[in-house]
This record gives sequence, structure tokens and C-alpha cells, in this order.
Amino acid sequence: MKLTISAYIGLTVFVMLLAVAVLAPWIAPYDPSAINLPNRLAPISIDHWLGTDHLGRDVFSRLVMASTISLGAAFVTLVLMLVIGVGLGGLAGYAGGRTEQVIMRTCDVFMTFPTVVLALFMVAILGTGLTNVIIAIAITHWAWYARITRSLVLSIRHSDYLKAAKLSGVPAWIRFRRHILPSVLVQLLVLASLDIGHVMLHVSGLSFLGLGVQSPTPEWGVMINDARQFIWSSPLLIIWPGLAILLSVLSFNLMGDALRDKLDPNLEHEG
Amino acid sequence: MTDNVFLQLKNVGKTYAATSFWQRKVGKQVLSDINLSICSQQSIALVGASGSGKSTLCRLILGLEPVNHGEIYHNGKAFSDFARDDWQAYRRDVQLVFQDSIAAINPRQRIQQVLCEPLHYLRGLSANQCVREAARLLDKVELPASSMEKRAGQLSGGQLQRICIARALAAKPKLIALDESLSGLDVLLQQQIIALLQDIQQQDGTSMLLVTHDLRLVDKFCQQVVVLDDGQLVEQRPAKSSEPWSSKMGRELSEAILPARPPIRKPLEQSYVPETQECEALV
Amino acid sequence: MRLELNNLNVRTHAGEALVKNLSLTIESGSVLALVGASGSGKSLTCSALFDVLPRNLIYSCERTLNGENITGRALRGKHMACIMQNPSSAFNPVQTMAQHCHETLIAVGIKDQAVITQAMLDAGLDDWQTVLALYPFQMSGGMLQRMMLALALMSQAPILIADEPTTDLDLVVQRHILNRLKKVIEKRQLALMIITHDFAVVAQLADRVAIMHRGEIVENTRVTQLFEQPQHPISQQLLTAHLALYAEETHD
Repeated sequence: MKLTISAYIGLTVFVMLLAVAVLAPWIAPYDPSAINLPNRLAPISIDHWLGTDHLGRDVFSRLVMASTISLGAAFVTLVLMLVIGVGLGGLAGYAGGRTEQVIMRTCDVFMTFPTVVLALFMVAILGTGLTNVIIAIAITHWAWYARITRSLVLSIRHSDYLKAAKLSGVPAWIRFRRHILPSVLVQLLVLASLDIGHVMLHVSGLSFLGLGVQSPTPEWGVMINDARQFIWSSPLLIIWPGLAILLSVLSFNLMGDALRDKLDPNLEHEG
Repeated sequence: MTDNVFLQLKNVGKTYAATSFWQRKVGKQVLSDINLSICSQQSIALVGASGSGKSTLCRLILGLEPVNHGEIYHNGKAFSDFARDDWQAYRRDVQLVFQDSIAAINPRQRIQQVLCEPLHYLRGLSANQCVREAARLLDKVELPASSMEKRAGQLSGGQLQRICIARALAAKPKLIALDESLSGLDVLLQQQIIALLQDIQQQDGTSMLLVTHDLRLVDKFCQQVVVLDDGQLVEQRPAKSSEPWSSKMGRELSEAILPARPPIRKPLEQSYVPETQECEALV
Repeated sequence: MRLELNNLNVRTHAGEALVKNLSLTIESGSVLALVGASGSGKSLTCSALFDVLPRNLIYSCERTLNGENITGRALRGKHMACIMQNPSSAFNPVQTMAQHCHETLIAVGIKDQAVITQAMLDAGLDDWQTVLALYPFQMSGGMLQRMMLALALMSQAPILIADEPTTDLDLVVQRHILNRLKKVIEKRQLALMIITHDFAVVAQLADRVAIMHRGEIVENTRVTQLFEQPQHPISQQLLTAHLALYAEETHD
């Protein structure tokens, strides 16, 4: 499997982040919520690898624990978007006619809302918290996946091999699952991997605005928000979580590119 | 021959309508008032120029698209009365070989899976029986058993065409439709596939429904010829007849055939290709 | 006008030779047919002539135009025009025929608009004014192929290469297109190389025929000669198959 250098970098960083997110409770040396006011805003030291924040909490531990939440939230949101989007888009593409029209017009409506505005709206109704942020992001973005799935399904739906399957007596649901879904999922996987960085930025962004995760729960966006007031005195406090977000999004994008390069042109030659 | 009418078409018509959310718009009538009887053991050719509706009629007969007007009867039962089991039974009787064999096979499936689909769903064979029967089918179309494990991308166009024929044979059909399946093939491959189809016709008694624009292929296996022009059935006659064509489309098709050998005089001195219909807008 | 192509070699990066030492001559006022089974390398030869081979293939050849060595010079545009197999995919779906014509004229540097009318009439599109306003999806396969011929004529190229121009069309349209091609070659004294697998087309249209097999030309002779006495076993095999299928159907 020949990969480019950027693909290797993306893959390495991604695996590292995944490891950190999964093993966070064991990696974090301190309790991320342990307040220690006498030691606030401490610089980098042997005890505290990245220093402490304004409440004396160890930044490294918070960063590591936050990775679980940030990455986890991004994945959960992505899965939710895919399930709703692929389900409705697939239905629209396969069924056609009025069903397709109804679903597509609904997509249009949802796509007109900017994420932040809709998130504010959801928060106003449901209250703050990570779950609600996840719901808000999923609700704004599923429409895009639905559209793409529909056009992918449409492109396959009129192909001869699908008609041949019908002539061979294969039932409709199995035709969808066996002949349409694999091609659709492969292409969607590529798009999703490119999109996950985007989703992560939304999760962190909304938390930064105070709409999502609330302090003291560690989350990269929240950490940036907390550190805003200290930007001149302790600039590193903002830089660490920012760097974490940057690395994550970059690794997802590089991996997404590599996945697309590998899968797209070789789609016909698998196996 | 009329006592075992296998398929009957009565006043069959097809209109393609554009649907919008609010209403059904008036569409294009592609076929109108087709009346045809196909007897078992009898092979028929459907001929016409592009746009005459022959492929559409083929698709209607196969049940790939619904009939808008009129009705098609299989052994006396109308398509609109078919339940799921009736369709399964119909698919066991009538199969199709597509024109583009590369597009007709899922590139992700192995050939074994491709052949096992009709074997399992139409003949109800178990997995082991499917594999044995698939091997037998490959043998019948003169392909090596090693093709079973391959995917479509690893086989040539000619081999894929044979696999499409094998798949059509899997259900042991009474009628195999060939939708321009012989067009665009090079001459050696055409010869081989025609020989294979003639074998199948003689050994298994399977009839063929050949949809084509090439009259030269018609009397290779067909007893009857049906001519379509602009969605209507304009002529029906035995394939080997030497009578002149009564329909305009029939005449055009027969005049369109290029002689197989070069003319005796030097090409530049003679305009040997008749230009009778040159000035008509031929679209 | 005489184009000679000598020692065309096309191979993959892995070293597999797809076309070996191919040599052809194309002359004004005559038609050369390039025939072969699928996979013999006919389309690759055509692509190599126009220098549009995919990047994973390497090719080398010598070209002589009227005795003058022109290896290395690009021959597209006003020297050589191409008519392709699938007319519906050869046109930009969002441009009208008029826009296609103007694009061609600009590419070859011709300013005279009368060239368009003449080319379209020669190609058999008598109602050229209507056709110019049409988009590709409004035209049938036969019309599109005639339009492609018209675009090729518009470029005033003396050499025309047709890659299976009638394979996807029905026989009635095929006959008309071939008629037109023959007339146009005579009238404008063009050189035509037609790639086909149909020996009936070869018999009726071509003066010379080259049979390709596995990347090599195995026989290159006059058409009448081939039908009387094919020399190479491959030619014999192909001709026998063709005559066995179609010889009884002569209707003239």
C-alpha cells in the first residue's frame, strides 16, 4: 500500500490522537478538575508539563481528557449525520417520485440554516450541553449527506447490473444492500473523513461560544474560551488547545485526502 | 403454432411522462397500439431504426418498466394481475442479455456471485448446488472454471458477454431476449456468440427475441420478423421471405445493408452506395 | 498530401509493448482502413497519432509529411481532425453547436464564417441554421456524428481520422454517414484513415486496408486484393468469419 508522505503523517498523528483519546484516564497524570489555586498560571515545569491554568488545574491532563470529549463528540456527530443522511438520501434516490421530492425539499430547508444560528436556536429550546450541540450540528449537516447519497444512488440506480439483479429475482431490499450500498458507502466514507475536521471545529467552536460543553468539563473549545482573558499574560494557555485542534483537523484532512486518492481511481479494480 | 401462445401483447403503449411534485405532465408516446403474439419454440426479431421503440418494447416485455396502455399476457395471465410469485415464475421463463456486458455485471462481485444470484433466487438452489450449477453454466458457454473467482475488471468484453449469456441461461428460460447484444462486437466474437446462441436454441429449445437494427442477423436464428417504426408495428413477416418489404422502415433497413464484398469497379469511379434517401432528414 | 507514420511503438511503463513497429501511409483522396479485433491496438494508434495517449503509456514514432520529417511537431488542429466513436460524449453538454463551431474556428485561426455553412452542408446537415442553435441533448446520434464531421471539415484539416465512427449508430444512419464521408473525401481531396472492425465498411469505403493483430500490422494491401487473396492467417480468419456471417446477404 503506497502512501504519500502527507498520508503517513496524517495516519500517524491520527493513530496517536486516537490512542490518547482512548487511554486518556491512564495518561493524564492529574485529575483535570483538581483546583489548586496557589499554583495557578504556573509555567512549564517537570511537575506540570504544560503548566497550569487560571485555577491551578494541570493543563496537560485537561488537554488529554479533552481529547476524548472533542474527538468523541466529533465521531458521534458524524455517525448521527451519516445515519440520518444516508437513510433519507438513500430512500429519496431509490424510491423516486413524490418521496424524493419531499425529502429533497426538506433538505433544502435545512441547508439554508447556518450552523451557529441553528445551534443557538436549539440551545434556546433544549438548553446547553454537549448532547444538544451534537444534535444541533447533526441537524444542520445531515442534509448535505442526504443530497450526496441521493445522487450516488441515482447514478447506480439506472445501471444495467441493477436491472440484471431485478431480472434474477433478487428482492428489492437485498438489491439495495448488495448492489447500491457498498459503492455508496465507500464514496461517503471518503467524504466523511474529509468532513470530520469540519465537524470537530463546530463542536469546539460552539463550546468556545459557551453553547456546548460547560466548564469545568475539559474540552478544547472551552479551554480556549477560559484562556481568553490571559492571552497576554499566559499566551501558552490558548496555544495548547488551539494546537490540539489544529493537529486533529489536519490529520483528518490528510487522511481523508489519502483515502480519496486510494479509493476513488481504484474503485473498479478492487480485489 | 397458435395453440401455445406464450406471450401476448394487446394494444400495448408506453408514454414517458415527466413528473413534477404537483401534477403529471403530458409526455412523449414512445409506443402505441402494439399487438403481438409470441409462441413458445418460436424466435422473433424486433427490428427498427434508433428511436423506433424496439428497446422500449423489449424492456416492457421483460417487465423492467410498467405498461401504460394495453396489457401483456403471460400464459393467459395479465402483468397487472401478477403477484410476487407470478413475477418469479415469469423471470424463470423470460430472461435478458444486455447490450453492454461490462455495465451489466456488478464490478464488485465475483463471477460466482453473479451466477449464483439467479440460481438461488429463481431456482431456489442451496449454496453448494449453486456453485456446481454455476460451473456447469460456465462450461456451457465455453469459459474456464477459473473465471468463477474473477471479477468483471479482470475479464475481456467477449468473456463478459458469455457470462451474461450464462446468467440468462441460469433460470432455464423459455425465451431469451437479446437487446442489441450482437452490435458493436468484432467479427470473430460475433461469429462465436452467434454459434453459441444457435447451439442453445437447438439443444435446449430456447427461443430468442432478437432486438436489432441489423437485418443481416435476423435469419441466423429467427423465424419471424416484426418491424417497428416510430413506436408502431408496421410489418410482420417470416424471416426468410424473399418478398419485398411492405413497410418503409423495412425497405430502409434492407437497403442500409452494406454489401459484404467490395464492388468490382474502382471505388472512385462509381458512386455505388445508393443515395436514394439522402435528402430526407434522417435523425 | 502524404503522411507517413513509421515505427510507432507504444508501451506501458512496465515495458509491455502494446503497439510494435507500426508503419502507415495516409494519402489525399484515398481511404485507409485500420481493422482488427478488440484489443489489437487500433484505438491506441489513433491516440498516438494525436498525441493524446494516457500518461501511463510511452510512445515513440517518426512522422513524415510530404517527405519532410515532422517528428516532434504536434499535428492536431488544422493538420489533422478526428471523428470519434461516441458522438454524444464528444460535445460539451452546455454549449450550443454554434459555440462549438466558433471554438473550432478560433482554435485553427480561421475567421471566415462561411466556412461553417459549407462544412455543415458537406456533412449532410441541410438545415444548418436550426442545428446551430441546438444543444447536444436535443440531437440524435446520427445528427451528432454529422456535426462532428462538420467540425472536422471546418478546421480545413487535410487529414481526417475516424475512430469507429458508425459503431454506435444504426445501419440506416451508418449508410448515410459513410455516403457523406465518401463524397466529402472526393470533393475536398482529403486523406481519411478509418478505424473499424466491420469488413463491410472496409469493402465499401476503403481503398487500402491494414489488419492489426496484437499491436502489429500483419497485412497492408489494397482492399480488392485482400478480398481476393488474404495473405496472413489472421486476415484469412477475419475475412472468413465476415463472409460466413454476411456474404449471403448482399442485396445489390
